[in-house]
Amino acid sequence: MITMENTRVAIVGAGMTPFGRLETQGLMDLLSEASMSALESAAAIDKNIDSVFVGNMAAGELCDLCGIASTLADRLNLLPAGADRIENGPASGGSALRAGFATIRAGLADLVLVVGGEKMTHVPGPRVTSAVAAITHETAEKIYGVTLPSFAAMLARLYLDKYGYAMEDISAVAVKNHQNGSHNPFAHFQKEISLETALSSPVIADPLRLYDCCPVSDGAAAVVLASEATARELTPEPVFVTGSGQATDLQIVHERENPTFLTAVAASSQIALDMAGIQPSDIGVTELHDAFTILEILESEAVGFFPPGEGPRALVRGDTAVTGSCPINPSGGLKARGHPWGATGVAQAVEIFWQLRGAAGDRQVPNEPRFGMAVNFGGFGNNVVTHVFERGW
Amino acid sequence: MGEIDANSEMLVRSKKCVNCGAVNHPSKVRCRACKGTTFEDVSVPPAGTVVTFTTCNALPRRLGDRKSQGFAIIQVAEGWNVLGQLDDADAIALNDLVEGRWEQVSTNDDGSPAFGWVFRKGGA
Repeated sequence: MITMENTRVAIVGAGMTPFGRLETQGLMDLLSEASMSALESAAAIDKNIDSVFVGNMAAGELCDLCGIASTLADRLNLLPAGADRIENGPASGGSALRAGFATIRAGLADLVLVVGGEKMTHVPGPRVTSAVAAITHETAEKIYGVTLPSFAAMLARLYLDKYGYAMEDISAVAVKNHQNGSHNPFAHFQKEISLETALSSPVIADPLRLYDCCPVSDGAAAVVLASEATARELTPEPVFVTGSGQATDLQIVHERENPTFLTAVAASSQIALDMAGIQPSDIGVTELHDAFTILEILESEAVGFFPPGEGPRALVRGDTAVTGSCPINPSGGLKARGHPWGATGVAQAVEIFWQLRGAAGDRQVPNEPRFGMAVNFGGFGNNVVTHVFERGW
Repeated sequence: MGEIDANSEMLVRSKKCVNCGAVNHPSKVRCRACKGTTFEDVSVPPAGTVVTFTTCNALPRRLGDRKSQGFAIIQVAEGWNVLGQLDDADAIALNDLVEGRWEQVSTNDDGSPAFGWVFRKGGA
């Protein structure tokens, strides 16, 4: 029942498609499959859904589709649910989750479907590169043909020089995340790699190599959100969204005072943590937006898990391993699970939901974590969405 | 690089906030530092030092058939930064002095040329 009163918001069900090259499925097929999986998981298949939020970055550019939220509501017969597509670049999924959270919290809906998805592998690589490069600044960046891997590479070079690391210290992120991905049946890549493999792979944008970069993937992920009262009716194990933060930064990378400190990650995380009333050290499991290995390092420092310059040392110590003191990307992250742009932010929430429920199989973080976090990195770090989650039992 | 006439097109032009002095490159409606709305023109020679750089081997359509392209963030005189392409990234190191020229850097989807800065090692 829609009450128009503030309420806590919980995830009551989650589902996703495998990520990877899914040649036989179109974007609407992927969104539908993930949505049905989440609705079944929530035992909400016969419930009235008040609103649908679809996180998607490039349905128009890559699939020649528009109005996909309306199409999904019709395909799934969620009528007369409200339906909106949410676009925030690679953080479209995180923004869709935030929209669903805010809608329930404001009392405008009681039961909401949030789904994110992207279909990317059917178009040639340069077209995908152009689509993502379109989020750079039109006159100061895009005209040069600069790409997101280029920016990540320039940040990596700065970081290595500033703190005296070598690429082997950064590429170890890929080794860890591929190991995690090898235990995730939904991951694009489900095989381990060695550090030697990573360090000898083709150069994409020096000093970053192929295994420092996430793949181009197809896929979709979905969660069902509910008000606290409805969540308690649907499940004895709700996972509450207790913090939601979003922050922007200067779009033009060369204008940033200190490009290796991700200001919007820090700000959005602080907002989410303050809302949840906890500290970074309380977080038991985290999904970070490792589109490039250097980003996992920089984000782990911006969130406050480690001081600036300490991320690689924490990685080598094993702090960020599944069994470490600060597990990061047990799903395999974008690096191994894959990165269908609009799906990623929702897939992060799906992984945290499974982790807090103890349902993550061979990649389960031990010791029953109570709090989880997801950081979804939009643009090139200039529009970041962070959520904090808590077990509700 | 020799002296450049102040009226030359071969200058990096931008806007300095009258209120706080921050250079906004390119210009904005409100200053990135103080939200001021009054700016004055500033221009400097296309020369400076390399803040960071890369050579990218996966390029968008606007760079046509190129297989790789160098990019760099350059700190110009007065301390503000610009992005540009590099002639020869293999010859570049952090903090190198570079000088630039204004030329076609890519092609827009409609076939029209896009102009920008291309830097190479050199300068005093």
